[in-house]
Amino acid sequence: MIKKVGFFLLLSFIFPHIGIENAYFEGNIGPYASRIIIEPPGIVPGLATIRVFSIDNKIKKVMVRPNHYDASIKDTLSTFLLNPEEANKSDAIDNLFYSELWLMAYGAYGIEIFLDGDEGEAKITIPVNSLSFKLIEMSFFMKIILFSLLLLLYFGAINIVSIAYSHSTLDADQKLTMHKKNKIIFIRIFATVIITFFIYLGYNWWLSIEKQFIDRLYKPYATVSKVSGNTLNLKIESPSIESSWIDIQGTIREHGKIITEHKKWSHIYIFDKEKSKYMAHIHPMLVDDYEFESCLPPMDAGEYLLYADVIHEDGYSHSISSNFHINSSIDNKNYNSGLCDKDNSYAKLEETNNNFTIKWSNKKDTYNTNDDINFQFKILNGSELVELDTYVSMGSHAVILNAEEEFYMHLHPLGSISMSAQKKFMGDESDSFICDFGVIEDEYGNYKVLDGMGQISFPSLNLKPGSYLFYIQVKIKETQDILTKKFNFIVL
Amino acid sequence: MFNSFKSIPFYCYLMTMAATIIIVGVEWDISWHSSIGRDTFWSPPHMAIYFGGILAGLTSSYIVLSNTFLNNSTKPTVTFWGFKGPMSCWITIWGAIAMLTSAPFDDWWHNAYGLDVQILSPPHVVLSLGIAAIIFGSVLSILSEKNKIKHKNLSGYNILYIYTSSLLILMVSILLTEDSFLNKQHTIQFYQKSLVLLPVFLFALFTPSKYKWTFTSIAFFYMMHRMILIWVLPFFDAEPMLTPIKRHIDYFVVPPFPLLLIIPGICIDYIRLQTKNINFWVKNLYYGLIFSISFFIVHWYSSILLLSNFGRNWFFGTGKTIPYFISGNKYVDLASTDGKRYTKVGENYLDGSGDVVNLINPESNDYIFWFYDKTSYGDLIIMDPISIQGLLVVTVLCIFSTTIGSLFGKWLSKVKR
Repeated sequence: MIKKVGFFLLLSFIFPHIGIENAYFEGNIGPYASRIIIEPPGIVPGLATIRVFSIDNKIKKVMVRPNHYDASIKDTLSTFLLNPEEANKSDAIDNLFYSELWLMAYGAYGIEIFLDGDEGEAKITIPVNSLSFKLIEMSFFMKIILFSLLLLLYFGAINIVSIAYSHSTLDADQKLTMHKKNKIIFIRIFATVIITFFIYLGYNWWLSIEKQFIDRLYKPYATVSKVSGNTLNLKIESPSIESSWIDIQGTIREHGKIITEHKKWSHIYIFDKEKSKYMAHIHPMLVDDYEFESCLPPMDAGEYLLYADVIHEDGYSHSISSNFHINSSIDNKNYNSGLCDKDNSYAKLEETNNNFTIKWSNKKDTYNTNDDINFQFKILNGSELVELDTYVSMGSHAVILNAEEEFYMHLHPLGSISMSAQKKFMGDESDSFICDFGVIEDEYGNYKVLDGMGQISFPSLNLKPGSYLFYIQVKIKETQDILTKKFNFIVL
Repeated sequence: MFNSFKSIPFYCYLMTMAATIIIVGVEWDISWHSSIGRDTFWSPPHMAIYFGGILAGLTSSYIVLSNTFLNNSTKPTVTFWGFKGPMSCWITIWGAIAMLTSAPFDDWWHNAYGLDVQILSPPHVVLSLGIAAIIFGSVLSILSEKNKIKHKNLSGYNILYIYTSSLLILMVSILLTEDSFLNKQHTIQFYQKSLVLLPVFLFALFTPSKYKWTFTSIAFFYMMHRMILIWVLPFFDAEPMLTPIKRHIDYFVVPPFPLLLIIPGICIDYIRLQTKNINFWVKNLYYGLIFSISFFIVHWYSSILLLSNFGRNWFFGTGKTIPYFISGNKYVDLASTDGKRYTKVGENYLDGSGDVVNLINPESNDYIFWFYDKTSYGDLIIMDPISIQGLLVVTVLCIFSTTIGSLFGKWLSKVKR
């Protein structure tokens, strides 16, 4: 057992939850302002929890159904959809509808949510990953109960064998012979050996099933990053394209080709080792099936950490992380022009912009685990709100990291979901999408009563205890400057 | 004949009824998981299983308590940790405790490793052991009562004994279900598991009975149980409630066609008639040899026949046995594929998800032989085709299992308490 606990701790350390946490969505779904939180089970097959908040209290009925990519993407004649089922309305929270859905298979799911109210019907699909990332230890109480029952069954079985030999064949008036009496001890030993052997076989079988389960536990794909001149090369390990499906199981290739998110093959965030001085947001080219290359913006020599968001044709979205070292500083003035992506940006976090400021409204330094952490920001020029432009189809981008690098989430005003994965499940192949609660073109609509332009809001989150770093990026319409700011907070 | 039924103690009937309810519940539960998928603790099949377990446990407990404290029975009993009761009751109580143990174990298992979609998992084996013990308890209750009676009409006992024995064989065959699909009956794994496990139980139950057609009758009852389910279940509507759904199902999925034990049964009954005076060990050598050969020949050819158009009807149920989560009639547009993503395993082509793809006839996946299996976590298990060497090893193991079963049967024929 000590070994198992040790292994579990090791897994927690090696396989951080980067990009696989709850799915958050916030926006107008048809005429209904809604916030949706989907908590994947963390074990496959397992129960996902779906919570739908009707922000404007207009929703009367919510129906939900899970849809595995096998059914929606492949669209073979042998796949069928479930009938949606009605979510429960919470007695405690007036505007909350909740439901639980079984996610039976590994891979990408689209959770279809159907809303109904006085203003008609509306529908949205929220993509989630069905993965195993929990290894649950048996509680002490359960161990005591099961071990007691095991002992009862074990000694009961030995005793049954013993009396089966000694007394069960005797006639009513027949006494046990001395010969049989002497042999009972040998029968007991024999039964003990046989039953113990079968328990041992059962235990080994249990361990082999656990091994299969552990082999399927989520772990980010191994990634190698190299810097050559001004170019970053990022390669995710994968078997050859010629490999059979047996060999691609558990590798990135089982999810198929990489697709773009907001017309970018990947969104890469680079941080300095301390995550306090430097941040870059770059967009690479895809040079091979699972290999990227990107221009690097100006950066000093030193150790860096990167996170990259990757979306696949099966709707599976995930993040990878890697470290790299730069021997001498890079001074690439053309990092966002020419062949380099025009939306590449970087920021030296310790430098302040003299003209513009980003203010987190009602920010606290510490939160409790059950607190809804509200992320509402004002972008000001002096004391005036400034008009924002979209940046990579978004009103804003944010990244949340924890200090131990075990947690990474790329967040937009719309939430944490991948819009490309969402569109895959919704059968929409277009790649145009604007998401913002501060700019006019917002596709999902700006339902919040904000004081004009220059305000950004992200969905509220509940986070586990830890020390967190929050990075926000916005684009100023007038100057086309990309503003980046870091905030710190603690969850107790 | 009816008088012989009257002389059977009432608790034997209660135990038989409990065993029947449990086994029907188990078959129903498997069909439920194959057709609907989603269930709760309170699903009707679960209630049937627990009710049967409680009925058997309470009946046995009552017999034990009345023998221990009321002392109103003159019948011989065995003493277990100070309590007195028939051997059959102790085995039944052990089975009820095993069933009780499996409930929290299974619940924890689902939380830790996910909902299992396979019949065999450690908590399910604990449950199966409990169920098997309860059914065996019902067999033993009748047998021990029968062994005490001399020079009487035993036909009632014989019928009840053969019936409860068939329930035990049905329970064993349920454990073998995942390897017993007609589509897997050309793999060595099917014969390995069937010919090692089944003879232990079949010959243990066959040996104590003096009835001429014991083996045949047990096989007949066993097959009738399954056949009735195959005929009845499709009349009930069902709709899969878990995704991915890989085939259209609007009825309760039926269990696989029963193993054709009746033919090996006739062979063994005939051999027993012809070898009355032969040494025990030699006789078991014959039994094991005949059983394995007849079992192999029957299932090799019957699976071909039943997978053909001959078996695709309400009587044999072929085509209605495969759960909603196993892909079947997959259509593949050859023009849009490069062929590289398919792997040939035996006669099957598997696509990128490990699903069978028939590149020529999209309708035929249900009716061909499979040489692969998958674990609940998606890992592939390659199954081996039949070989002479493999069959020889299986035959030797079958003879060994047969002898173990017969030795156990010798004890059963003497149990009186």
